[in-house]
Amino acid sequence: MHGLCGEVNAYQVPEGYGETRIVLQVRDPFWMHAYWEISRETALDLARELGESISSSRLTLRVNDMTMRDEADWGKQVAIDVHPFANNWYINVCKPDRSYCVDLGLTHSADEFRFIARSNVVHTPRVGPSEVRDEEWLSIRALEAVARGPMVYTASPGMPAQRIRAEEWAREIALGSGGVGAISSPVGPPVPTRAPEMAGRQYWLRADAELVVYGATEPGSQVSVSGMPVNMASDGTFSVRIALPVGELPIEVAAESADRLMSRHISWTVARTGLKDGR
Amino acid sequence: MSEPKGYLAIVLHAHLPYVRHARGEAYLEEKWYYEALTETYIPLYTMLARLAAEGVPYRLTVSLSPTLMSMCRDELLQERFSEFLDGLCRLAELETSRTRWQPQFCETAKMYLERFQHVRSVYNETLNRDIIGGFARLAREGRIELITTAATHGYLPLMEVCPSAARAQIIAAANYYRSVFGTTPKGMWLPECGYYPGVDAYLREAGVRYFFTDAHGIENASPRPRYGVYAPIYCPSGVAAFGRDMESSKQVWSAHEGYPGDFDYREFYRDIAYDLDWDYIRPFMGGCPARTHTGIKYYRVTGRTEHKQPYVREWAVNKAATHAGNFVFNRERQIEHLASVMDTKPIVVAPYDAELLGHWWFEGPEFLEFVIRKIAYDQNIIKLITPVDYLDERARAQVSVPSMSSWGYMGYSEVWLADCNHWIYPHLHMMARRMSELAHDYAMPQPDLIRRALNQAARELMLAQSSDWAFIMKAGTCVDYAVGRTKSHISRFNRLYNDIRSSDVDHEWVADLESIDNIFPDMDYMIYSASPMASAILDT
Repeated sequence: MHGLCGEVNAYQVPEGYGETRIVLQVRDPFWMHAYWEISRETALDLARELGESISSSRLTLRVNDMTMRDEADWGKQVAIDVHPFANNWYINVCKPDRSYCVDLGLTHSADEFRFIARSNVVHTPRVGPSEVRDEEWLSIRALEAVARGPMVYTASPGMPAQRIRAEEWAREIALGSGGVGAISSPVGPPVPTRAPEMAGRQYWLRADAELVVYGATEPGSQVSVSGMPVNMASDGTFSVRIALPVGELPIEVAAESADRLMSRHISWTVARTGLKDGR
Repeated sequence: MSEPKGYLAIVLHAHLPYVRHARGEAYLEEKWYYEALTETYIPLYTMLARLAAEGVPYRLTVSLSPTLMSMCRDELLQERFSEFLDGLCRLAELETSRTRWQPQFCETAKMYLERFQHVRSVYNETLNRDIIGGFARLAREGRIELITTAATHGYLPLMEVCPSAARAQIIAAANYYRSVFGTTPKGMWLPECGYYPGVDAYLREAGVRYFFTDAHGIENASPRPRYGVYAPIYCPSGVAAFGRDMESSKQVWSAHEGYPGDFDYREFYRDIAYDLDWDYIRPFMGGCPARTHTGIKYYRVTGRTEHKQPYVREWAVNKAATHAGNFVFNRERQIEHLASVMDTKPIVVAPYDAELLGHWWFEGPEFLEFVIRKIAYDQNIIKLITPVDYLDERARAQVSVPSMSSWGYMGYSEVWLADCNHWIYPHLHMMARRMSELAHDYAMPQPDLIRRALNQAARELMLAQSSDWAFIMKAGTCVDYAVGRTKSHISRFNRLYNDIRSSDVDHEWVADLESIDNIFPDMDYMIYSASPMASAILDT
């Protein structure tokens, strides 16, 4: 059992949890996402029940409008046939600020719908400011004194509505979300691919040079290279790395014994000619 | 100072996912944390402490995520960070020597050496390795208001179907905050500004007084808020919501229109790690087999060109001062205008990821310092404020329900719910439901080992929920790591669940997990037990 925690990449996650269910989530005002699992038991039951016709049946999502405030649309239903092996789907809805739930089922002979599971109900956010302009104002002390539980609204004192807008940001969002068409699901779960970017390809090369000044002297000595002190290893060796720009560079290696009584100097010049900047 | 016409609330949200790898010696991701400490958290602390010492008046809101605080307080990471700083100082020393004949770089190399040495001495000596303690001191002195965010920065709108999990993220965060600071957080930053109607009830339960949403969360609230984002509204639960101001946001955030893209500022991507000889760089890669940022960068943004020019510190600092002047000027005009059309004092809320300042935008801390000084001394139209100060000044507020929203791309959940990452939700939701079931079924006091296994299951669930993993999968860099982390926590949770259910818990394995995924030592799995709001939809 030990050592199981070692490698981050050595983990497997289950394909499913053996439970028939469908879960619905809101992505934005115009898109929802549903995922589902059909357990082995449910699948066997369906096969028994539908017999031969199961092979020609289609996996279907029925999107139900559950918006309470709007009686005209309440209960309106749109069916989406999905890929038989899909286990999730993005659902495009044209109206924001509404409640939905989704039924998962099989559509078999003569367009009959065999219900499998119903999702939770979600509410999509509105786009743009609320139409509700009745302002409720309360004292902060009273508001913060609210115990856990439902809040009781008092009547609005009826002040003139006067609103300051920051930016038309919400509008941009609405435009960008592609909210067109009736309920449909143009987006399945495709695998994102990227075409190789051959057009506009650039070839490049970068090169530069550095200088390593190294040497050795008696351990404990003070060594400098062109005026800058150098760290020395305990065995008396030292090594300094210096960028090598274009030009003439005087190198002066100076060493002084630990007791400062003896010293040695070595110097030379390194020149680099050619293009500047290594380009 | 005469009465201000309105207020500016600057909010810095500091967060990193939990990337502690007790056994790994070469985890690239742990470096995210070290870099953020070196470039953002410690410089910000230093700057704020200096202003406080000078007596410059300011009020600022700082959100520290529980995962970040846990890493900051972890002794192993403290030791490793100290070693990291030693390495960085060594590299900077080599750089001052290597660039001696490149005057265009040498000054900058010296600047880095001084900075890193300063960060090291602040961290080891001034702070005694306790950066959280440093921020707590500033809070006690009345300079900053410290708030926090959901326990592991779980993205709450995608937990709406398992309310007990959203609630636990908030309750555990408040509990952790109390264990660190001894008080209840007054405010909470919702991860990614992700709000859905109803989640405020859990904030209320945790004793939190306010949170933030993106601009459209308030603008689209219902009933329609009279003052838009320029005054907080109260949710019916009794928690206040402040909306982000887009104008001040854009100026700082945007890479192209905003300040950070200025040609004089330091270029983030041109790091010496990619320019220099591998043998020279390798010792500073923390054991990673590939080139990663060192933090030493010699070029400025220059323009939209590959031919970058050397960084000139003086120009960059001057530019930060100019931009701070521009920022304050714009806020003055904005607040003058708002005050002229509002019958109450406006508040402009300007939240930023803390890591933007210093890490991405190198001169960000200097910019903020200039902003604070200019507001303190150069004008009397605006005043810096924290949300709680503002609430305490008000008598009445409008009641309204914010709209579901986030500050992610397009304003909703499409970053965290996309083709590349939606596979995580069936697992996360099932784990959350199972955790609630466990809390229900094991509500009576349990033998020590079972209790520990239950608490560890709660930790694994929370670690799997970090919004960072889904974000990384979407962003496309370090995807393997994010996928691996998610899978590791799912798999550990599922095994704990099965072992607990079959009363076959392996003592050694649980102890092992406790030392590896060791966040929240005081975790109590009972936070997943039923709450008034937690009538889990998935229980049908």
